[in-house]
Amino acid sequence: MVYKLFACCIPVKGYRRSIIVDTQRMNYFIIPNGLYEILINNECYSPEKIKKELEFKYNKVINEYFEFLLNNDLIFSCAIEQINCFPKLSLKWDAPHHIINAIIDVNEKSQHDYNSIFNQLSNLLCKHIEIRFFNKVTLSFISEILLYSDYKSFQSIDIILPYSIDLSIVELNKVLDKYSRLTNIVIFNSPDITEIKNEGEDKGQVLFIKNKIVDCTSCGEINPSSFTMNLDFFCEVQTFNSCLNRKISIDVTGQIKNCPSMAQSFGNIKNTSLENVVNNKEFKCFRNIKKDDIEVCKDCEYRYICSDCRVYVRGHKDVFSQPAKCKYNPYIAKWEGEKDYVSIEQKGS
Amino acid sequence: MENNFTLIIANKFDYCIDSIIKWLKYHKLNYLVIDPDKKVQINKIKLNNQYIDIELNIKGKHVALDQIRSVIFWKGRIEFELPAIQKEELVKNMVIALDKFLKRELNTITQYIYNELNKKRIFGLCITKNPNKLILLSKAREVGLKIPNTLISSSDKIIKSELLQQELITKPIQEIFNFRSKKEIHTSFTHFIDVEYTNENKDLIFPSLIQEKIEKKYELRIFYFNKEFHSMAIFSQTDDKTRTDFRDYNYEKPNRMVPYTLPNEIKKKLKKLINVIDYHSCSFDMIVNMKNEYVFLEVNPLGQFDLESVTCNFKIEKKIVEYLKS
Ligand code: SF4
Ligand code: SF4
Repeated sequence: MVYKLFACCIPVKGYRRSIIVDTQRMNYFIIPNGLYEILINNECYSPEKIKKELEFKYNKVINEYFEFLLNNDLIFSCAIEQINCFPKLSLKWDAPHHIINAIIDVNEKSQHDYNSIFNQLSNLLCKHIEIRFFNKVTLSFISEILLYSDYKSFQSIDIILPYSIDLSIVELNKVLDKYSRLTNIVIFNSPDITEIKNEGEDKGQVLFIKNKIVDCTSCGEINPSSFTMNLDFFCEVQTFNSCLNRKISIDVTGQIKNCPSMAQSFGNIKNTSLENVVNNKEFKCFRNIKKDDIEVCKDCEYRYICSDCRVYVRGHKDVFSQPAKCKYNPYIAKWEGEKDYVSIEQKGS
Repeated sequence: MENNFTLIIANKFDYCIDSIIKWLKYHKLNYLVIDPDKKVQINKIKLNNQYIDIELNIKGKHVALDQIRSVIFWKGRIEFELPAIQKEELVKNMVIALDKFLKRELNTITQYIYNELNKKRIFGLCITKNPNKLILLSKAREVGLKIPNTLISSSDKIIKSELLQQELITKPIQEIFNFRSKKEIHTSFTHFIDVEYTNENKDLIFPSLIQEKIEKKYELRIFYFNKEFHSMAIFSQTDDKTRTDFRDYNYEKPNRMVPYTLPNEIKKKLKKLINVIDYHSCSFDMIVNMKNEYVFLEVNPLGQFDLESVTCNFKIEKKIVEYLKS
């Protein structure tokens, strides 16, 4: 009898340590690189054989490793004749959407034609849209816009807006009730943090957060709370950018861009069709910058669960630099705030 | 209607069809869905010495047979729009006889249309008759697959005497029983037979299917399509909640589900069975028991494949659409 790793639990090596991503239970486990080597160099594992190979010097460590793997349901015992019955997962990625993510930014000067924008996005089979209001906005205005989102391709819609004293929970819930695809209403600049979760399975939630957001420059934060541990994401970021793949956005002035914070525009929504932009080669080039191409990230164990940012990047602003707002240093395996943390600038590879 | 489209004859709200449609849209392929709400009118079925021509009117869309490139048969059927027939003056028995007659007439037409559609590129199975699960089980046995010992009996005594010898399970013979009311959902899954049951004393019971309970290492869900097997192993043994049937899902800690490669010998037997029963695609449920033997449980021509497609990244929907357009 030997052990095998469940195919959905995938080890990822970092400079200092590694992780096992449990893509099925959406979790990850930090492991030493020594264990990573054991897991990756063998088809299957026999603790006794491994101990012997290490001349019985590390028996206790090996026992601990296997106890950990078994306790977390990461390995299973497998009959010798069935070793070859358990292949690895295919990490090929594709999705039936020309656009997966659209961001629409709005301030007091914006004059978007929401009906036309939503129609165009729906024709691109857009899956998710995020509308970010940077100015005060009434719920009736939001409701009016959302009317155009009915019978479209969107599976979820997120709305982000600033706090104002006259936002009533009752009214917010009414909007959520009316639009089943509304997933999150996030209210920033709020005096406190509150989360209003709804009982109904298909109903969205309201989130009050204290973050100060003025405009699109607030984007690009990297932190563990936004790590994504599912298989679809894991596959996607093997080949594509973790933020900009199949994304499109319309900034406050109507400029069509990869993301609102980008300098380069591919035309204004008033006179350019989204479909034309989506087929533009230059527009598509950011999609192919994967974590394995990015400085520092390529040495980081979190690279296949982490988001990315190609606008706010570190140092000399090469398009392949680490996201500037990342507070992790994989070369010492420490987050800012942890004891003995030093920044990448002070201690890189 | 545009040329070269895919006709989808389906039930409403089906996840598998939904995801196939997404890929059809993505590739800008035309399709038309006939679901139970869409009644069909027959414009013409022409059978003459030069050619055959069929034209249907599906909710105002005129569809000719040779415009259809491929057909998905997925738990749906073609139903015709009918004129109201004056029956008031007829005696009751006559009405019944007439209804039966008209039904047979319609059936003959539908069967013929299915017959012509079946010559196209097909996914799914045109169900004119529900395949009999007991016949399928006996066929599986004939091609050399191991099946669980199975007993159907309406004798309380016989079942009890079996129960003394081994642990048994019971499950519906043909279909899953589903009942939804506002308050509750009843679904019949596979269950153990409780020893308590023996306390109740009845002579005659409704004929029930009893099977030996097989201690399993894992369950296999196998989707076969376009000469390819997509298999997934489900480890449910460690979890008491799902010991008998993994559909009694444990949400907090989903069972481990991973891709699986079938041994060639099993693939061969399954292919033999597919040839005998003549399916385009189907899903098999199997068990690998403690002795590492493969035990056939059932085959379903219209089994859902979304779970293995997503969990094992098989992208089955995408492959189906690639097949339908090729
Ligand atoms: S690239 Fe950066 S700024 Fe642009 S959307 Fe992504 S995280 Fe935000
Ligand atoms: S270095 Fe930072 S941004 Fe890069 S993958 Fe690691 S955590 Fe994410």
